[in-house]
Amino acid sequence: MKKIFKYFLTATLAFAFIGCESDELEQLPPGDAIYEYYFLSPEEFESAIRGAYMSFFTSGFFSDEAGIIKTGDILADNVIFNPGGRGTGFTGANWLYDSGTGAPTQIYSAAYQMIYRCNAILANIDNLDDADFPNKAQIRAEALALRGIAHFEAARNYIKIPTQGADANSFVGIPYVTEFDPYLEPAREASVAVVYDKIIADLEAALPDIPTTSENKFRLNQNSFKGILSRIYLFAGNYDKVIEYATPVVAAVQPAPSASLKNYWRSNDDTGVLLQTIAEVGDPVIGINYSQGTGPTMVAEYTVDKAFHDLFDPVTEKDRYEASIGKNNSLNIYFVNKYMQSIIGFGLHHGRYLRVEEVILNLAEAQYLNHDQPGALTTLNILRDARYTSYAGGESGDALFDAIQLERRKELCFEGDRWFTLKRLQGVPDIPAVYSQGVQRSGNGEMADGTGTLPVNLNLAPGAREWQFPITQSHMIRNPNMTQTPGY
Amino acid sequence: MRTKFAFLSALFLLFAGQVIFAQVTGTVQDEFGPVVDAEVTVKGGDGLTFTDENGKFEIDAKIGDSLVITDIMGNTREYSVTRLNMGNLQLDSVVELEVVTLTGSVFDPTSNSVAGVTIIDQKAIETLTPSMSVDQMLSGKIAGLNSVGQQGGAPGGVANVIIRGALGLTGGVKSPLYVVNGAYLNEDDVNSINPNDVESIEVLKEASKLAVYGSRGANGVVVIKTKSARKGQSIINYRTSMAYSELMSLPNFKTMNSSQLLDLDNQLFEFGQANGINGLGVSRTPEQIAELSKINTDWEDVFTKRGYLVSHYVSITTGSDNVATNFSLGYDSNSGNIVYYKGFNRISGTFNTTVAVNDRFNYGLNMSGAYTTRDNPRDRYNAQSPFYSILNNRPYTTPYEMDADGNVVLDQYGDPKFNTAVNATSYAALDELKYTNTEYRNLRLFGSGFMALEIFRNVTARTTFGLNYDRAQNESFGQPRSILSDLLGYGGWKWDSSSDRLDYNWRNEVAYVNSWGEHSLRATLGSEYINENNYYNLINSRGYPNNIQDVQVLGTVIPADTYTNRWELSRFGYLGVVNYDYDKKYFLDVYARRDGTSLAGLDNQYGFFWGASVAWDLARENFLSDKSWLDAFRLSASYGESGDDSGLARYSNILKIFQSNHHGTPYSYVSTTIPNRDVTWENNKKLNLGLDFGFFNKRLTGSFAYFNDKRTDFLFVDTMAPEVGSPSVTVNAGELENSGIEFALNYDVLKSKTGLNLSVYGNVTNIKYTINELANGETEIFPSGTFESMIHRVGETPYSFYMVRYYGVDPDTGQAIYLDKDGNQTTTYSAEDMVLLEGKSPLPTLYGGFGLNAEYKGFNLRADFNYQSGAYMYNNTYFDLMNLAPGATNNHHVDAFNYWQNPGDTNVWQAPSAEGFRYSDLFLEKSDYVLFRSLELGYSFDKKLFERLPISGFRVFVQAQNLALWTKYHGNPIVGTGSSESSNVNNTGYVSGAFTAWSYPLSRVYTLGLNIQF
Repeated sequence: MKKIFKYFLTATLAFAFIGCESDELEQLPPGDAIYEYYFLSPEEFESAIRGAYMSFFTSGFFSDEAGIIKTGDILADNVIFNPGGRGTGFTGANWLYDSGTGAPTQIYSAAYQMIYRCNAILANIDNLDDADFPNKAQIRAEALALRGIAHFEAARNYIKIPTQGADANSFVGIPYVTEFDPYLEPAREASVAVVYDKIIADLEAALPDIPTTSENKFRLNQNSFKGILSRIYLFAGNYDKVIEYATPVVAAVQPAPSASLKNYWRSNDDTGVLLQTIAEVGDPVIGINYSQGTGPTMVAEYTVDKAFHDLFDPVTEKDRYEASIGKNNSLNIYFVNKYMQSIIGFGLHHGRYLRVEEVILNLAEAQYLNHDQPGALTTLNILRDARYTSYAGGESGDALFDAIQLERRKELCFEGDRWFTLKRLQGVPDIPAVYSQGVQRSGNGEMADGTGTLPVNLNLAPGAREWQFPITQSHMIRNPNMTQTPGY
Repeated sequence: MRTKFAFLSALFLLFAGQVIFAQVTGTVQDEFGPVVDAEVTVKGGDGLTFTDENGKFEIDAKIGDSLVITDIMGNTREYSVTRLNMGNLQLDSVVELEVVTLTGSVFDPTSNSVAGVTIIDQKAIETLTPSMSVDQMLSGKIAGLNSVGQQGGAPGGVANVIIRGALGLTGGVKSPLYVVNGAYLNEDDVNSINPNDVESIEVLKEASKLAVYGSRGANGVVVIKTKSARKGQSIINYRTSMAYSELMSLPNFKTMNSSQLLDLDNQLFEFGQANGINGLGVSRTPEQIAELSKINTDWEDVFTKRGYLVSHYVSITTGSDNVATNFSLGYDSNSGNIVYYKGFNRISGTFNTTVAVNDRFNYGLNMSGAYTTRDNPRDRYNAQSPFYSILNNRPYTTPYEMDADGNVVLDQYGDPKFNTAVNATSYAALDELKYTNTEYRNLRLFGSGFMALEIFRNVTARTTFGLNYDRAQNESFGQPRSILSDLLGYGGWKWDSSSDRLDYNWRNEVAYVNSWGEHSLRATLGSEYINENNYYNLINSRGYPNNIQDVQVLGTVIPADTYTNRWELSRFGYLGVVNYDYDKKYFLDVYARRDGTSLAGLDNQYGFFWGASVAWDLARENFLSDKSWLDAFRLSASYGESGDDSGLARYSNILKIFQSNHHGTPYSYVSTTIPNRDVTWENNKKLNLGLDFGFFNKRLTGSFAYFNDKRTDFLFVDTMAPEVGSPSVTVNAGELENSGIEFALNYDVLKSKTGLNLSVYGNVTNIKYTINELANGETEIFPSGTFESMIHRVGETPYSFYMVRYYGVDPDTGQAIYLDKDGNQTTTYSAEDMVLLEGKSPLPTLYGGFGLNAEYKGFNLRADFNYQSGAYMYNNTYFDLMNLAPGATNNHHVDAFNYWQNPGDTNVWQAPSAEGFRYSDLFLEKSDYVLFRSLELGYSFDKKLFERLPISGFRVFVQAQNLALWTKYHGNPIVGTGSSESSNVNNTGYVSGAFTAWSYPLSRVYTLGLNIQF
């Protein structure tokens, strides 16, 4: 028995020894870096800020369904739901959404994901001394700027826009998140006004350190950033600031000439672009938002409303018309031509987040609302000169405002602007009544001659709850401090 | 690793010992029960005894001796003494496992059937087609085990196997561990096992048997033994079968024909006009309707074909004094039932050998391998799925485009052009089936090798190395001519992916075995290291010159998502086990083990687990041993813990920075998977009370078990606020309890050596699932990623459906009436009125199987049924085919006619509306079913017929599989995965049997086969 005990003892000791050894249990991810050892070099911050910009590729921004290009048009009056399509966006296009179906966009998740990435950078930015980190101020500025922009994207979809009505600024806000803490359960800000103040505070803090130029216009530069500021101040109703920021941009950047528009929407020309995603093969296909395929096998989700189509003059603005709208004769429909053909690859496009044409229109509108009609007309003509072979022009008063809005609708169609314009103008004083009537669809069907199936719902009243999107119930349950959008 | 090598070599330097004689006991049986008066001798010795009236014997022998058993008819068998209690020794013609090993490994379960271990033999699975995976065959055969094919009848598909309701709250399937000849297999590998190779399957359910497998065994173990030789005999066996198959029609499912659908379209259009709903229905003139009614395409005919199944299997077993080998080769194919697809093919082989080098040392090697190819159509929740198209395509359209003269239009290659105007999506799935090619190929090798050495008296050391290698390749080619390629603008595409995975386990053990008088003791110390690693690559390109050549040298556009990746995980554990019995009457087993896993939080990688079991064999008590009607009566109780780390994702214990490149520049971001340094093993605490019995010469046998499995610290992936980016963290979140009973019974109604034999069997499992507690005092949590809306609430069944309650239809307006949160009726739908639907979850509460087996003069008949009840399933298929809303111009279920049309209508579906059906419990259906699983009729020819031929046995048989299905569900309820491209078993939130959405239906298979023995 002694021997037995001896060997059992040996064996037991051997087991105990192995048990103490835990190196075998250390497994590190093969392709990822580790947070604790990251954010320790300028290159890592460079990489991380690009990661924040990459959120522009996620669903809700430039993506195939329910993205930034599509939502703002299918909820408004430029396009008609096509029963022969795959049925995408039906709930949104007919304002049938509620907390059960969720919002007609994914921008909420996408925006807060971008904010998470920005806050991770801001939480670590002081890991390095200024001396070791020449770009520190710029990286910080870009993170602050993207954080503000992302909050703005969520805000304009989910809560009222300050100019939407007299009570808009006191409407409840969305959470404004400035900390990198995954365990946070943020509550809504008290009001729209608070949210826009915080957005503007982040952006103004960022402005001085945003560089003058940026490669491919993929990252923010002074022109693109001021252009974005002009957009946000227009939403906030601060027209002095719109003019302050838009003026230098309009002076510095020429709109895309008509002749280049066709190439422009094939991602083969970027004249006039201020900020864009740079797409490559493998990126989300954004060219199938409205239709895919060609000829008789084309599957169109939404067709261009004949009434909207008829606003174009195929003679005097031929290039813009053809770059925007196509006709499929075998199906007898007008289809959306922007973001369709591409030289990068099927459906792959540089997503144009901001182009100077919008800034021109922001400036003209702000000048008009700031009672500078001659200035507004001059600004508007910069764009019209670039688009028409001839036009009457010379408008004033309501006619001038109508002209600005007509250009806005035509120039920015199928890029997701229309819904927000109709939403934003509802409470702006001293403009024609037509801008405070919500969505009024033509009553046409999906066919090129206006026949076909009518949309389920034709009008959305200005005060309707649907102007602000519901928080999906499955999101609500993950944050006990969150409340539902009023009205749902 | 180095330290473990040192330890191993140390073990083998220890060498000493003798052997001792002891009383060896056993029971001799043949297919009719205990064999009385059989002669038992020790080969080469002088021991001799005869079995008593219960077939029992006792003889002096030592481990390693051979016992020769001869019955009064002269049939003889040899058995090696592997343990003192040899248990049941079979004397019938079934090829038996011949173990020529020294003291068995603690990792091999005992072959004594006790509650908590269920054994089925080959006969029970022979009646199913060999191309079906072994795990699917277990369905209904084993108390406590539930098996549902993941994708209905898809060829080569595997099953979701769940033992005693094992579940985790983040989704996925808590699959048991498959152990094949010592190799650990994953659930996906099971279709590489040739069922013809299987000799027996043991399912381990209670803790003291599972414990030796550590974390891998926490959710049950399925031990599959393949055939091996018996000593002194060589057998060549050839088995072949041919079968054809067809899809089972969906129960309670009837779609409209052309004139019905055209009628409905017009009705809806008029309803829409009258009620101001745009886009409803289609208006057609009577002439148009008459013209279209002439076409009435049966889309099921168009998309499906008769399937063919072929099987060949040959095995050669030889056994000599020191060496036993088994060699087999098999080929199986199943074409499936979808046009243009080839289905499943498998070539499999096995080689087993065990060599006794001398009395003290032996070694063995078991290797199996299989090469499989498989192609399955898209399992997608849209028109790309053939099953979606079968039900949704409009019967008044033709599969091919027709010109004005009624001739088929040809494309540029001269082939008929598929018609795309067949459904609302304008998509021809037939074109994708024909012009895209997908193939999955797997080469799997699995097996184990061992060396066992009696290092000195009563002490054996053993080392076992098990491995499972899987090389998986997937090729997917979209021909440039395909409509899909056109829509995507790819000009043809090719996708080649490949993974190279090796899992291995290395076990070392030292066992001490001894007996004193009535006492038997066995003590084992063991250690185990497990490593799994995987390498993956993907290459894809687009732009192909023609429709035939598909290698990527031809691709012209290379997307950025060409990459390789890898992962690895490891576990290490050591254990001690003591088994003791007194006179085979009283049993005590105790174990303790400590396990570490690379997956757990960095501060909490190790866990300690222990367990104990006691058993009492009453039949051996003197006061009962004279009761001749009582053959066995064994009571057992066990409690044991085992750790389960399957709820932990790889590398989730590290806050990762994701790194990649875009447009030639690197970018990175912080992962939203948040590490938890404290998260650790889920502890699976199993209590098992069992009773095994046999009465009347074992004519009535059965077992009963009560089980209570508590998972404390269950692992849950908690998804946090969307406003901070929806990060998620894995936590030990509370306590979950499954308790229930299992009951299995077999009764030999008629029993005779020459006349009619008839036996019936049945088993039932009843389970209750409860969430006892959630961490941090929470009362409810929501699983993320579930395809349907579900909730976990304290005191309720996990995965309870969480939906708005549908109440009925307002007879005045036709509007749907819902119940709000407080139970008040309302016609306003609000998702905030979602409530937990008590007792409604996808978890079955009752399941099992039953059947009969009859034999008469060479004929045999076997019938098997299985059933399930208590679970609910969300029926998206029925929803979509019943929905009357704008744009719903696909085909419909005939029930859709019964919608509200006029005030006062009752017993109707809601009126057509802009929104259509809202998401409510209206389409949550009971998935109860009874399935007539298989029927076999066989005939074995009398051996006398072949006296002049080198043939020792010849059998022919016919089989039918899936003959009938009884259910109230609309469609096939026997499906684990509703739509694998929406929610598959590897996705967060996957719940087996939670919903249906156009899955592969079951196939009915008719087989003719023969079996020859040489």
